[in-house]
Amino acid sequence: MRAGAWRAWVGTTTSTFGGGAAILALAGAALGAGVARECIAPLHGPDPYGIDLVPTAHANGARGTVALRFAEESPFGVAVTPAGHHLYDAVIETVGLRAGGRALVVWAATPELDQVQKLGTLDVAGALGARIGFNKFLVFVTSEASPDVERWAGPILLRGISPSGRMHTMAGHGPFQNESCASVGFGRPGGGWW
Amino acid sequence: MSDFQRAGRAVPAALRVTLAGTTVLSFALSLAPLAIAAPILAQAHDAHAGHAMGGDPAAWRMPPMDMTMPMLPGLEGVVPKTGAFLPGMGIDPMTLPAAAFREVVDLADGDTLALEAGLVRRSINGRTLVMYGFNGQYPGPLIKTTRDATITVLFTNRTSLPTTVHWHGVRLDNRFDGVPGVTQEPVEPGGSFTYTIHFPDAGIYWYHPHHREDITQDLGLYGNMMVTSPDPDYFNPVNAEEVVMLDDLLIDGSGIFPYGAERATHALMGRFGNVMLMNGEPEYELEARRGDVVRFFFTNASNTRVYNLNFDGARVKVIGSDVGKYEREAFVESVVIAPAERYIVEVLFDEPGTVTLTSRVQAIDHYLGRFYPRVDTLGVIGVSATPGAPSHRAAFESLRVNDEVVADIDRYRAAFDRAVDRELELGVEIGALPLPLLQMMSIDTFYYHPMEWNDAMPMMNYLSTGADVEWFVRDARTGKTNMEIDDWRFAVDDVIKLRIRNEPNSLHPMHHPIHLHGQRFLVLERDGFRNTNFVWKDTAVIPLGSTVDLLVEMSNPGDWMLHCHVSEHLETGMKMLFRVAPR
Repeated sequence: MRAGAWRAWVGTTTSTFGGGAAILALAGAALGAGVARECIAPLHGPDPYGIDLVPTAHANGARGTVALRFAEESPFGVAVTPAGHHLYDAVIETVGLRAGGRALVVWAATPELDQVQKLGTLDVAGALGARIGFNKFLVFVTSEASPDVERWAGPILLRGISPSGRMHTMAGHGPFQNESCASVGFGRPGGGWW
Repeated sequence: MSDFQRAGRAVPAALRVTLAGTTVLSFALSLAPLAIAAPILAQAHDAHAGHAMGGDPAAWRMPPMDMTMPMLPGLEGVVPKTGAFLPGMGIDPMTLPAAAFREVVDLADGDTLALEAGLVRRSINGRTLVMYGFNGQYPGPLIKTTRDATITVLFTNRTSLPTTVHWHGVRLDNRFDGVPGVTQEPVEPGGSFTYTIHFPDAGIYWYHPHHREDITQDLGLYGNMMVTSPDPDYFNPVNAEEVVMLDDLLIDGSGIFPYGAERATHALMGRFGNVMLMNGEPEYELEARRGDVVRFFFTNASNTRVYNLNFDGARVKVIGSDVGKYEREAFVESVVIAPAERYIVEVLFDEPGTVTLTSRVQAIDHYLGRFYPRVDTLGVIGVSATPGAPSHRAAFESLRVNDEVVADIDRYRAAFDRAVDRELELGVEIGALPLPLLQMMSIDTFYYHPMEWNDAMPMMNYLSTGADVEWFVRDARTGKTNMEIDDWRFAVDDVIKLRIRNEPNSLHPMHHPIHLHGQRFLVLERDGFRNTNFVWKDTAVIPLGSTVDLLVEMSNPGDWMLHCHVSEHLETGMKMLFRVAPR
């Protein structure tokens, strides 16, 4: 292994972005002068195939997980849709949910909620296997009057977001704080955020 | 006057030899005669105007991008830690031979082919470019031969770089595998080497350099070998066959974007192109008749791009891959092909009209934190109203079970449940990249997808070189990495289970198409789930965070390489050797 690779990062995580401009300016100077500098060690990344389901106020104490893997039957190394969305077989497992005579239905949706896919109903053990064809998506469990509902109507009990949900726009943040959010479709033209 | 000429004459003062590094001394020295820096040319960058590089007096310029991300503070003026290189700079392209479309060369057992690598003049999208070609052709000659044939190739290197020829996927005599420093010394400019190639397996294979292929393969040094079976019914009856090599080339307003002279650039993600080429053509066309079934033999010769091929609604059946046929044919909606992989598919052109062949992926825009659909048109198939004859629809509709493949694999099923013999971990160590890049890559909102379908960070990627990035394969048992691994010793007829885990917890994890030289293997399991339809492979893509079990048949003695087939990952260390001793 190369000597002098990453050293442990003991700095604060919050300053990485917020204080970015000052650090970046220093970095630019350091680059120009060829000055040696500290490196930032990577933290352990989150599981790229795991989703934690966290409870809403309707299901205090409940929790769940979604485990993703590429769909099985693809003859290729990875399963994707013709449009290029990854095709995952998901295993949803929950504990602590009380059905109370209602159906516990699991849904996947794009973050914009313009596409909502019914994944199915949790079994008596609180589990479900389903296929998801989105790249960036929400998973949530709702309490519905019937397992046959086609649209989500009941209260959300658990919800989580795919690992890709960590991505959000950089416009207006950190090193890009002077970039116009509105020009890329975020925020209000008059300034400020929602 | 070509763009190259304009560039060269407009700023002659900017031309200079760029051999700053000494890391790869022999290579750097070899570049000396022609390694003249690409000229600086003030230019508006594709969809990226306003990002003035300002300051590099040599050759580097902003890489072309298809996104709107603003320049990261602190990066202006930063260039890769290597000189810039383009072949043939200073040579009038019009003095070079115009490349011709590839010829089909039928070789019988005992035949000989003279193969020469050299500079050619290419015209792509109306631009005149200096590239490489085998025998002045693009792609290189299509070698057609028969299973069990042995041919001789008299190779001559007319390029300015040392090189070799690797016969990808062929279980050939180790001496002719074309790995510099392992099976042979590099063929120096003007030198020659004689390869003897025996073909034990029917299928579609390809040949390419194995020394700085990030440059030479990218610029056109690749060709296919089609090995036919003596069994006339080996394949289904079809109306036509097409052998297609997929590639992409990175071009900006000044021509081909320069390569790293002493070491590869784009070390993080590999060099994505922005011009798609099918058989070297940006506008591939094919004519078919209504009802025709066409068998396509696809090879991905790109440095790093993975394609998701769509035939616009035409029905597609996958029948084979790297080393022969699947146990069972299967209908598919699209074809995912990673670098160095091959897939054999049959397509029924049912309706008259036009079928567009596209690659459709969901690309990442890190700046906006979203995926967006990216569609690259690769070619067009015109389907006439005239019915094709004879009709092979019935054979197409039937999903064949290839009993001989099943029987062949039956010999190995008892080994499917054996314990894991060897385990590799894939990862990367990153050193002193520019701090703004490290910060961007460290923040929690910077997400790495299991598969990188596009260059989502072109500036960061371009700046990264082997000086700061070391990709590795690591033996999980010993902790040794890459060429340090010295105890992988097997014997002919050994069957081993190799587990490969693509470690997600590094600064920049990425998928890897892993290639084993000289042997064939089965992809047994992915993330603990057993495959149910096998085909012999020599290259398998391992998504980020995935664990894949391969069953490798050690059938061929010699010292063989295992490596990632992203050219820049190979160039930055991701390779190891294993030895198979004769019994």
